[in-house]
Amino acid sequence: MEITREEIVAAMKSFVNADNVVTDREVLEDATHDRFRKYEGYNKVFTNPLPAAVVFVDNTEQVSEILRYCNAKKINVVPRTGHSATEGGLETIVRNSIVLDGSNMNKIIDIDPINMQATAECGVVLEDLENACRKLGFTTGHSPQSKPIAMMGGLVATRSIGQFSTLYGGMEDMLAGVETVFPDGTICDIKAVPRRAAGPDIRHVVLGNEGTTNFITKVTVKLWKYYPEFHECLGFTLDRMEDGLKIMREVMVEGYRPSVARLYDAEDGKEHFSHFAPGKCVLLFVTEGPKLISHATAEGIKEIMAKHDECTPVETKLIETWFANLNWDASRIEEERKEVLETDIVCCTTEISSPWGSVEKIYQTCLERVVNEIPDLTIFGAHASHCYSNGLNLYFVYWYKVVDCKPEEEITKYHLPIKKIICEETIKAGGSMCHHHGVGKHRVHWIDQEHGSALYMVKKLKEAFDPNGIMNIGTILPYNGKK
Amino acid sequence: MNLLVCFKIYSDLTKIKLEDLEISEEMGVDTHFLPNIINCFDESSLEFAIRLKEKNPSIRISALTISKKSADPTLKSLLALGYDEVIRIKAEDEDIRFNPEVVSYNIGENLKSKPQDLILIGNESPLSNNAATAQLVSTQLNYPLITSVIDIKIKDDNSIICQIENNNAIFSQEIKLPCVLSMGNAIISKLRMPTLRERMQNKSREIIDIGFINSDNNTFIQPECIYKPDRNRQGFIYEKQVNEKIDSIIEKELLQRIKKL
Repeated sequence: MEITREEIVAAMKSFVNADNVVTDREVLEDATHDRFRKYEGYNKVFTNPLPAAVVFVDNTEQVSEILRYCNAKKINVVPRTGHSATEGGLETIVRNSIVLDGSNMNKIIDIDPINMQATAECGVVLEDLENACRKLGFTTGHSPQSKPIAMMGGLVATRSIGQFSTLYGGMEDMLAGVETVFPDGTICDIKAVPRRAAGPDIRHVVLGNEGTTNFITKVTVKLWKYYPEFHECLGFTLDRMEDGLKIMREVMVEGYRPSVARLYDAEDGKEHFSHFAPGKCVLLFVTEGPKLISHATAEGIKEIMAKHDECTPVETKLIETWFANLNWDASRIEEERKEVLETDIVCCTTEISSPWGSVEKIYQTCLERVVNEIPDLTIFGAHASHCYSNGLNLYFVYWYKVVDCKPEEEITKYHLPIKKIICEETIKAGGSMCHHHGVGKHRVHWIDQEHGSALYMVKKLKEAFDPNGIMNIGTILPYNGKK
Repeated sequence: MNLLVCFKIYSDLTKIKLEDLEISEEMGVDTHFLPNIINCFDESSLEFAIRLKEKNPSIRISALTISKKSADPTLKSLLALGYDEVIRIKAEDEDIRFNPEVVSYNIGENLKSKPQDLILIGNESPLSNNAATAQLVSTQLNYPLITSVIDIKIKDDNSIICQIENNNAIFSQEIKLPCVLSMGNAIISKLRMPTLRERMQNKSREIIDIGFINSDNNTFIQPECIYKPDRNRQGFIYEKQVNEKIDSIIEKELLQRIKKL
């Protein structure tokens, strides 16, 4: 017989303080979705079943006990920390789930200036950790736009990446060690070491698991010396996205590593740069690190840029000011809520990665198809913001006016059809449909095409670590059972 | 019915970094590197006009601003949103911050050849606020002025009904046209964004550029200097258990501090 909500709540209260088991309707409604269904949420429409409770844990042992119980009783668990996910990974799609929230585990455990590592509990806000490190002259190098709200557990679970990734890399390059809990209650502490070759790199069982096999409780990341005084900023306008993509490749292939390398097309740039570059693409770089390295990198990039007559330099203050206002905090989300409710215009994104050889095709095809096939668009553009020696990401940004449909129909009328075009065209051209937001529950439709023959490994990992299928049902892999 | 919205575009000071908040020689803050925004009171008016036209398609809506060329993207958006006419009075170097008379004079001169039945102007502006433009336009045209308007409905070709907020109360008033409305904390605040299709359809439509007219007629007080106030604000977290009477907390933590100032 199916366990009741009341029984689940009572059991949770035996594991944690009763105050940490929240069943208020408003909290439960908010816990049914993440930013993927923000339009529904802003309109107070909730299409997913309410979870039985949101349970706030205080320590790793509580996580272990709760997971062991849920595993035995086959209760779906949705792990969560900062609640800033964008792809539906936090949606509760089956009845009587529990949302296991690690945001109370918010202690910075250690900032180690000798071994250049910082250890924090899963609920530490990245900005808090970064600020604490900066006081000591260090940086984690991680700076996603969600820095003011995203927490360490979620950042590892989604394999996140930040604005300075071209120098510091993504979370996979930053993570030194991690403690996590599996559904049978097993606590695993992967020690933080510079490198090792002791079998498979088990950090990758945890990285990007999106709460589908384990619950991350503690994270150790690498540190770097922080030299804000040596940052150099370069900005350029140009007419064609294709030219910008070629220049970005040239910079990377020549061996330069700016911390920021970004290219905006004119449409996406309209919201950011119309005061100085209306109708233009904008290409920008930031270099950082010790004075000699930062300056030499900037000089090298300038040398490359000097060969490109198609680019016009812009005053660096324009770029610096824009960059200082890029992050999203809670007040900006509230502003967005008000604006969406007044205008019915929604902004959503899909980020992909592409080898250099395919990126122009992906960009052009998606642009052409989305603009021709999707109604009521107000903006469809893209920027590239994370570069590698072998390719880069494209971050498609689209705004549409929700017309003649109920809030609950918005994702099927607009968001998913756009995502479908972008994901399918990207995979067809040899790229990946997810660069850094994860699969969530809304890119599972294309997970088989994404992985091809390697899907076997993804499925086996799930079966091995979550044999009862209780961890974040419907995320990464599709769920076909009863909701 | 002809409806005109007069609006102001200025630099978004919320985006400025603290270290850039320096007074320039021109008695202001250098803002050339900041993005532009529409004055929030005027943004309401611009959206109101579109909604009124949607309900009453015979209304001809126009928008007028005194601005630099850098305002073009905003003006093009208004054309895409269905404005029948978007007029820019070109002012690249003119300093009109403390000169509402010259602003209203330029508006009034424009209206000589294009009379309007209803003119919407924001109550105030967060930057270089004189709160006088609507009053001066009303005087110049000899049109009645209604201030602190928060909602507008068209009654018939010759009259409108306004909601007015005053002293924390809301009044409804019927007004004969022509008139000037000074818009306050309106019930709508955000201007919509044009769709790609609307932008494409209106791509070839042009902004009407007209020349700025300088005027010596300025009786408003002009600033002699500008300085950054030293406010010395301080916040603190009261960590004790809140079982003391609030009066005693105020006495200990607030009044005694004020006395020391």
